[in-house]
This record gives sequence, C-alpha cells and structure tokens, in this order.
Amino acid sequence: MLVYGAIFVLILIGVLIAVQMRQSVGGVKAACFGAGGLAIVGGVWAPLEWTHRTAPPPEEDQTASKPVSSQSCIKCHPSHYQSWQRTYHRTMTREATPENVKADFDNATHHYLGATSLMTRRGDRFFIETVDPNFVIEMDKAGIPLAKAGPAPRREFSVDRLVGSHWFQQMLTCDEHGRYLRLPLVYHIVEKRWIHVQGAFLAPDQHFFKNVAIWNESCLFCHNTRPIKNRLSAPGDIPTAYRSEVAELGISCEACHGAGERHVRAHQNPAFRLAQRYSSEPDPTIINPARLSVERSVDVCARCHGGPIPRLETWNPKTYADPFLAGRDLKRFWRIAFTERELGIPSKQKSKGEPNGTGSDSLARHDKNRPEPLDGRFWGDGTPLTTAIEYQGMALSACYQDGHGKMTCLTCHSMHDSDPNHQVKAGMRTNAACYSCHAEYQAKLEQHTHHGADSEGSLCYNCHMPNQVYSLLKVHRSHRISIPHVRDSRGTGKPHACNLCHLDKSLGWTQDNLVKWYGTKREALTPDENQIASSVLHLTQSDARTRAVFAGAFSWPPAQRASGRDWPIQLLTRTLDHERYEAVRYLMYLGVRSLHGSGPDEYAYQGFPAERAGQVRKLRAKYVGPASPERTKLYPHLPLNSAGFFADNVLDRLLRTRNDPDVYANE
Amino acid sequence: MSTPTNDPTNPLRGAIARRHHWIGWSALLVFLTLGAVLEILHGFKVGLYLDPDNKLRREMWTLAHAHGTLMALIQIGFASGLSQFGRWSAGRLKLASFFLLDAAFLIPLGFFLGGLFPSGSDPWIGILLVPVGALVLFVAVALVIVSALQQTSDADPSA
Repeated sequence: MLVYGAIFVLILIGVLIAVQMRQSVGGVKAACFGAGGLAIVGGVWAPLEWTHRTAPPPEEDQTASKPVSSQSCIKCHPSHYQSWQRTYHRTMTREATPENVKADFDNATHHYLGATSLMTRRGDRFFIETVDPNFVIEMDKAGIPLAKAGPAPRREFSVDRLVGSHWFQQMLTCDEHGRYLRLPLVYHIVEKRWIHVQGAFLAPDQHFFKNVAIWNESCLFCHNTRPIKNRLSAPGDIPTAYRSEVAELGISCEACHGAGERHVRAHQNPAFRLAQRYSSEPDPTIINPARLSVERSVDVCARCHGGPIPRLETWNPKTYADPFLAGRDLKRFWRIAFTERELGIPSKQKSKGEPNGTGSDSLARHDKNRPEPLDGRFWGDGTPLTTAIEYQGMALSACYQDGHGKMTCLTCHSMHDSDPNHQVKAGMRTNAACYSCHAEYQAKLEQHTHHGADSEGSLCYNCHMPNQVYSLLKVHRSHRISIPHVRDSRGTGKPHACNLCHLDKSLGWTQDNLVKWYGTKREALTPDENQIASSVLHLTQSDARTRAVFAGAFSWPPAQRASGRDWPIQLLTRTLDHERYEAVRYLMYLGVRSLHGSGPDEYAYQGFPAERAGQVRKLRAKYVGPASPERTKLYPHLPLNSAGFFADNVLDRLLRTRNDPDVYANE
Repeated sequence: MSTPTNDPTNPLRGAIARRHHWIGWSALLVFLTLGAVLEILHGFKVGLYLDPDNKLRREMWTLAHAHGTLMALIQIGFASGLSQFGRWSAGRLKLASFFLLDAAFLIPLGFFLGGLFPSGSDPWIGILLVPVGALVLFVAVALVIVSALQQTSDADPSA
C-alpha cells in the first residue's frame, strides 16, 4: 500500500514538473525533457529491477558459497551487529591478542602435580613455560610420579589462540603442522586465577597432559563459524597436519543465518531492498531462525547445543567441511544422541580408510579409554547432565513434544535482545515465561506450589528446570522441563528438584509432601532414602556426577535459606577428605566460601592430598561451631549425634559403600 | 557582467529574483530552525535521535538540515545573481527557477521523510524524493551554466 502511495506521489511530482516545463519552454521541449528524464530514471532503475526479479531462487546447498564475515553484515545491520558483539558466542574463539587475553601473563606462576608453570608476555605475544611433555610421557612409562621425578626439562609454548571468554579461557598453541593444541593451563575467569585443565572438567585422574586436545579435530566444529577441518596428511600420520579454515572465529552471523554471500549480493541492489522491505514474504536470500519451522529452528541451536556426532558419510572426505547450514535438516549431517551409548560408537562413525581413534573419529567424541556406560552426559532417566546438550533436554520436555509446535529455543532465548549471560529474553526469567502457555497457574500459584507466592519455591523453573546440570565448574539449569517425580531420582543418580533446595531433607520427606499435595504414586524407598537427607546420602555415596550437582547446590542462596547455614560445613569438610574429583572439590569448597566467607586460597582443590588434608583440618577448626543439641530437632533428616554434630559412624558407613566409578564429563 | 537595460526579460528576472529571495530567506529560516531543533534533541539526549538504533534517522535529518540550508542559500544566490549575469530566454529562466525551487523542496523533504521510519539499514520510502530533487537540480544548474556561457560568448568579440 505504501509503495503504491509512493508511486502516486512520484507521479504527482512528475505531472507538476511537466506542467512547469510546459509553462516554461513549451509543449514540445517539455515532452523532450520529460522523455529524457524518464529515460534517465528508467535507465538506472530498470536493470536493477530486472536483475533482482530474474535472480534464480537460492539453492539449498550453499556450502560452496564464499563465507561472509560479520564485517559485511554491520553495514546494513548495525544494531544486530552491536548486540552480537556483546555475546559470548562471538568471543568463543579468538586470536591471542592483548585485547582478547583475559588471563594474567604478568610472570604468573602455577603449581600442579609438582610442576611449576610460568606465564609471561613479551610485547604483544603470550607464552606459557611448563614441563616438557616428552618428559612427562617418559616418566609415565617409567611409572614415576611427576612430583618425584626430579628437575624436569622445560618447554615454552606460545599462546596463539583462545577458546572461551565467559567462564574459562583456554590457551591454544599452534605447531608447525597447523595443529592448535590445547595447553594444560587454563584461566578460570570467574576466580581470576590459573588452574590446570584437569580441574575444569569432571575427570578422576590427575595427569599433566591428559586433557591436551587438538582444536582442529573437536573445538573447531562448535566454537567457530562454517568450519573446515582440512586435514592435509594421510590418516594415521602422526603428527597430523592441518590447514583448517573458518568463516570467522567464534559464532558469528552465518552460524545462525546460513550462508550470506547471496544475501549480501542481492541486497547491494536497491531495487531488491525496496521490494523486500515492503514485501510480506520472508527474504529468500537469508535464514531467520525465528521464521523457520520448529524443527529447522531448533536444528540451528542443536548444531552445537545438541552435542551432535557427524554422519561422515554425508561429508566431503577431503575437506571435512561442515555441510550443515542454518535452514537445512541437521539430522542429515549430524546425529543427535539421547543416550550415553549413542554418544560413543566408533565403528558406526568411522569413515572409509580411517583407523579407530584418529582423525574424524575423534569428532565422534569417542575415546577408547573412556568407559562408555559412565561417559557422564546423561542421568539414568535420560535427562542431560552436562551443558552443550541442552537440545536433548528441551526435546524430551512435554512443553516441546506436546507444545503444538509453539516451543523453540527462541521462545525463551534471544541472540540479539537479551542479557549476554545465558541470553534469556527479558521477562523470561520469571513465571511469565510459563504463564504464556500455562496461564491457569497464575491465579492458583500458591495452591499449586505450596510455597509463598513470592518465594523461590513458587518460581516455576526452580521445580521444573532445577539445577541438575554440571559443567565448567558450575551447576546449571536443566533444559528438560519436567514434573519432578521421585521415581526419576531413584537409581538414576539425578537429584530431586525439591532436595536441591531442601538440602537438609530426605527423598522420603519429598515423597511424603508430593503424595500429600499432588496425590502422586508412592515409590518404595530404602530406609536411608527415607531417613537421611538426600544431600548427605549423595555426597557420601553417589558417583561424581551427582556429587558435583549436590556440591554446587550448597552455594546456591535459595538452598542456603531453605536448608540452614550452620551444618553444611561439617558435611562438606568431611566429604572433601574423600573426594578424588578436583571439580567436585572446587564446588564443595565454593559452598564453604559462600557460607562462611572463607578466602579462595584457604583450600587448594588441585593441591596434593596432604596439603589439602591440612587445609581441611584448618577449615573445620575455624568454621565448625560449638556443639548445638538443638540442631538434632531442627534437622531431623541429618544424621547428627546428640551434640548436633554429624555422627561419624553413619558417615563412615555411607562413605564405605560409595559407588565411585570413573566418570568423565568433558564439557 | 551586468544585464543590459534593454533586455526584454528584465521584468521577469525581477519577478523571479523577488520570488527566490522570498522563498530562499524563508527556507533559510525553516532550516536554521530545524538545525536548532536538532541541537535541542542533542542537548536533551533524546533517544529518538541519538540512540545507536536510530543512527540512520540522525544521519537523514542531519542531511535534511544541511541540504535545506544549502538549497536556501542557493535560492538567495540565484536571486542575487540574476541581475548580474547570464543571457536568459524567458522559457529557460522560468524552467531554471521552477527546478531550483522544486529541488529546494524535494531534497530536504526527502531526507527528512527518509529518517522518519528507517529500518536498520535503509531510510523510509520518502527518500525517493531525493533523487527526483537531485535530477531537477542538475537540470537547473545546467541551465544556469548555459546562460552564463552564452553571455560570455556574447561579450567575446572574437566568438
């Protein structure tokens, strides 16, 4: 309508000019002038109009198109560029320049397993000097611990590229074969301190170089835009050489909007822009995830947040360029795993001519040394327990499955209009997010939650998206929106939502309330599950995944308010003595710090056992208060003796029967 | 280079000069006022004009102010110079006058309208007035140059 209005106005102006010309120079000359003017206007506009009208429709496969960097997009989309600039997606991978490095390279030192590392800066370049990897391998073979190996030869690595900018900054060094190797020291941005990478993941054993990964084989694919692995040497060659390419380091425009070359070209034509702007049809030259079908929209996010495994038979075996682009069916090129077994099946993922465990196989996240059944990415009921598989959580949710095609990732998240921290849309951190579909609960909130309307217990997501996910030395919200059934927490390792807040209460207590409030079916629980607080049972008996999540709950303010602050120090310091996972120790000590204000240096979670034991003794002496018999009444589900201290015989019994297999959660 | 007193277009020149003076000075007042309004928007940090998302609006309105002021000065210059130089036919003079006035109206208005509802990258459709205004301005300037050149050749005995 507006376009027709504009055309009408232009015609009016044209008539006015014609009248003026006729008055001035007469009809003949006016006609000549007019024709000339029209010829000029038409001569400029007609080819533009013709070009865009006759442009062929975009091909589905645009993987061969020339990548377009965000610098091309800023010209027309400055506000989107600015909002993207603020995101941690953008800064996922960057070159190690002074502007990008967040870590302390001012001759900082770090000690781990008896090896000292030195971080230095010379000009605009950054270096990590540490123990020589070959020496570590030799000592390994000889069975000599690094701490007892005597003076070790040292080696300096340049820091060439960075991965992460939110929680951690990982350091990559580039070797002469084009391989970017992750160095063993990472910077924990949250704590502003160096840590060994072993502590950043959920991994049991301590080894100086165990977690050195090849960026070209793994990180490349989810932390960059339009990645191409480009392995140069033959399969099996060690070391393998690469000439990996990306459209842009980090997650930039094309990651979500698909190939942009045709879009940029088409929009250089003002006739196309004019037609597009006033068209009701979506722009055919670019992908807008918000306008895709539910499946295709979530595919865009699932490409990285679904931890997918490549279907290499659909890939170019020469370049291993990622064939997925926004708008395409992800499942044609990547497989989404919903169980732990599906995550690591090397034989089915192996491409022709590639031996196990090398090359693209590592894309399949398989490591023959990793025990598959406990490759800890899913709880026993199938709920994701690490980040980067949020898609599976949502896909398992009734809100998604029965949501009549309403729910996508963009229902709650926005990439351009949100707080960079978690990128949740404004207003979606409140119950309003759920009321948009479940409005009936708004009027009967307290009746439904049995908690005060303004309490944490009446926030929908605290019960239906509890903090059951571990990664990056943090616990995160589950993306599986579910009803917290007691049966889902029996034998699955998954903490119950109620007990992640009510740390002093047992699963039996939770069940009693759920039966009373909602009439749910009663499950048969063990005496310990009925009588002993879930947090105590799991911190003493469960495997490291559950321990990590419960440990994280102790530093959660709502849980502290609901559970009391005067008893966790006893449990945390006691279980710290028995904790072999660095990440769990960190989270336990984070609970102590949060409850008692102790300093970060009072406990070295990556230190030697003897050092840690001494620190725990000091923590106990400093923060465990005097006897308090009232505690036995206040906390009936805590195994306390008459003085209000934890009963050693009960904790010993529980710790003796701990189920503690090796688990790995390298996310 | 003054105009001969027996030039038959003298009365027309006078009338057109008065019209351009009147419109030129009035337009100058309008566009100086627009400049003051833009300053006030700056002074009070009005988001409608200064927010990063409204960068294009700011650019368009700045251009409207600048072009409007310039076009007003051109009208005054044309009016002032009309009695000083140029060999005009009545038709050419009328056309140049019409087109200069059209341009003074269309160009700043186009920029202003373009800034009313811009998208992230493109001005509003009202910007289409600008190329039309530019076209007539080109013709008007060309007519002025032709008139000036003709007077020069008249004055040159060797021509």
